Amino acid sequence: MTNPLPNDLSAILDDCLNRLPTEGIEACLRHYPAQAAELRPLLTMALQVRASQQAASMAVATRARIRQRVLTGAAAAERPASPFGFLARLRLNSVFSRMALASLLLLVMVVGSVAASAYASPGDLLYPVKRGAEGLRLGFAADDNARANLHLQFADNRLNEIERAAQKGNQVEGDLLANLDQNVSTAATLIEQSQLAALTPRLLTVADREQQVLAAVKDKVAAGAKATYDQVASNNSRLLQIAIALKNHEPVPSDPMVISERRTPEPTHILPTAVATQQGEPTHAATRTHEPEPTHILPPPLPSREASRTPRPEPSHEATRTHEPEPTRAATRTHEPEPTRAATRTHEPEPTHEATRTHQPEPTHEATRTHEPEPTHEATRTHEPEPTHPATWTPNPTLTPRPEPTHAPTFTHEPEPTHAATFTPRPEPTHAATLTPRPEPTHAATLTPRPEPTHEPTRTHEPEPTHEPTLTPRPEPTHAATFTPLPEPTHEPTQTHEPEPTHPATLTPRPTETPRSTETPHSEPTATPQPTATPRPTETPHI
Amino acid sequence: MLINNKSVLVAKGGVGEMLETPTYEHNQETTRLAVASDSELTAVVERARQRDRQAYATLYEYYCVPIYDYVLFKVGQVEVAEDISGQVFLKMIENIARFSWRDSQEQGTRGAAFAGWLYRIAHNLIADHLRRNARRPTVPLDAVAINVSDLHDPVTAAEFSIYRTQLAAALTHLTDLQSQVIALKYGAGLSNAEVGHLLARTEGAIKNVQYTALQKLQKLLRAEGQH
Repeated sequence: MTNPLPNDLSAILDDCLNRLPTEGIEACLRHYPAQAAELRPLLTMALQVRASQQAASMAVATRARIRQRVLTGAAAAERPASPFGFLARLRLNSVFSRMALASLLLLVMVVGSVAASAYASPGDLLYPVKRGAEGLRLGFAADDNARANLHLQFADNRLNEIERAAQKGNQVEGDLLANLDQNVSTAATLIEQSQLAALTPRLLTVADREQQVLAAVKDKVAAGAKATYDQVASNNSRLLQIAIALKNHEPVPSDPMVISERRTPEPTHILPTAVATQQGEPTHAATRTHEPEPTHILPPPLPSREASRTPRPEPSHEATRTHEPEPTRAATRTHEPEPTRAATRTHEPEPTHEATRTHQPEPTHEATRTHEPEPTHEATRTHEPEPTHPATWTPNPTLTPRPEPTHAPTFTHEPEPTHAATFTPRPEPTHAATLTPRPEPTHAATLTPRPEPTHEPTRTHEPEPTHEPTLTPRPEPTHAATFTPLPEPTHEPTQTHEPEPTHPATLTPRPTETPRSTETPHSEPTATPQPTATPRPTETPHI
Repeated sequence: MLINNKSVLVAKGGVGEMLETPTYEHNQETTRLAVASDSELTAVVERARQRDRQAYATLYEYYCVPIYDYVLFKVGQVEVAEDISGQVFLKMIENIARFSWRDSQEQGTRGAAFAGWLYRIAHNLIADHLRRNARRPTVPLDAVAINVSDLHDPVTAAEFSIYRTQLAAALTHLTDLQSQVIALKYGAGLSNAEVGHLLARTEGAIKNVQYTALQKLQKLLRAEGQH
């Protein structure tokens, strides 16, 4: 270099570094003896660094390799950008992280679709997901109680869907009806077989609602589903009888005779041929149509179970039950120590507000049933809060102040009020939340406030949870005093199925049902329980 | 390391293959930033914007060696350097539409401008890599030291490999600017002027940074090294 030697250290260093390739360390340092000592280590290191870098200079093969990678990547980038292109940029270097990401995405999708399908209606994209999820939940159910709860919930779901379809002006498809019937029937069978007393009120509520809804959509049924509708409706009548009997702890009225009051017109086919569609029972249904089904109050869908249950004290209907698989249900009602009550029970089936409920010991069950696990189901019912806890109904008219908890209270003053209060919590509890203060407690005194309220009014809208609140107004309370029609109507409004309210106030064999008639507005049709009471004219209607 | 321009850096008209291993030359007059004239580079970049694969290859040939050397210097491992180098050029292709010459209107500055862009991409990718591997055990600085007494003594590739890893680890202890200067100078082989141009600093500033950086490096390497 021709330039003058630099003075500052950094410049000197740099100068030496530049000289290194040609001169070597010692030669460089000779130019700067003063700083030699300090610079030597730096220069030595610099040489090493350069040497290592030189040794690693880009080899030809490396160069070609990288070029290939770049050009291939460029070609890939030219493809139409996929929405998941960002995934390609993720550094998923290992198969494990790729799989973890994929399974995480899959999980999120599944959970999301199931959650989003909560309000799906038939025809929606997510509806199959909803139904599939229902099936899955059934598969995970631990015991009969859980299964029965799920069936009741699914029945509520179907009812919501049917109502929604009707509201929208669509036709009600046969599949909805069939599935509804299947669920209710299965639930009833389970309840009867396994003596799930706690669920009886809810079953009654569901059956009641089913009656109402069926009546409401009678002329909106799809063309090919008329037969299904008829079957479901007839099954429903029977189911109501059974439910009421169960509620009153009476033997399941398999015989039409047994349920004199309630003699729903269908007595014959107590367990309706269960809309054969799903259960395949249709066959026996047909045969049994008028059979004394009594035993199989529950819709045939569960033929198998019935058989086992024959030994029920329902002596009377036992016999008849034979043909119905359901008979077991009747039989199961052993706890109905009231064989006698059977007679009295006739009006039982009615909506628990059997005002006449002489406070049978039932109240206890009722009470007990109140909080039964339903509350839990309620919880599970996430969006179908179908307050279905029709259970609260208990308005076993015949049962006298049955613990109809909800309305009972007022009646006989059964402890109902207590359970009324308590009752409500049942199944309702969950949706009761919405119901909030189920008037039950209040009507405990008056009995009227049938716990039903919850589901009553709101039932229309699927999210059932609302039923809870509606239930409160269960007109039941009214009958408490007079047993006349449950003034419950409060909730009835929506639920129409509050049908219970009407009954029981007058223990009289349901003829009191008429009170129902007052309720008819909503309950009538659905209030099948009334059937016995004569005019329950509504009963048949939906058939 | 500078390479014969004709064979490598100026590969007009196509993908040229280097037929000979480049020898190290520290030639301040040869710049690694301007691989082609401004007009040529502008034309190539424009073709690359039109997704011309040949233009991609040309740009690659222009800058692959300095970029690779720079990356290798900073990360220390050949495989990682290859990987990151490829990513640099892939990112270049991806974002070339967004590249603008902006203030490189003067003659002869476009090469540096484009190279500077590539070095920035490389720098960011290296930083990502180092951040990702921060938790992984790095090669301790007190690894086997290399005894390099004579520059011409053949040193085994394995020793060099260890040394490079040590060096890359030591670089992480320098400031960002210091490691940039050292890497650009000793890795990519740029001159002070070129480094100053890229980092927007004067040559004198670059020399100062170089001095302190080398001192620091020497202390770090000496800690486990033998010299």
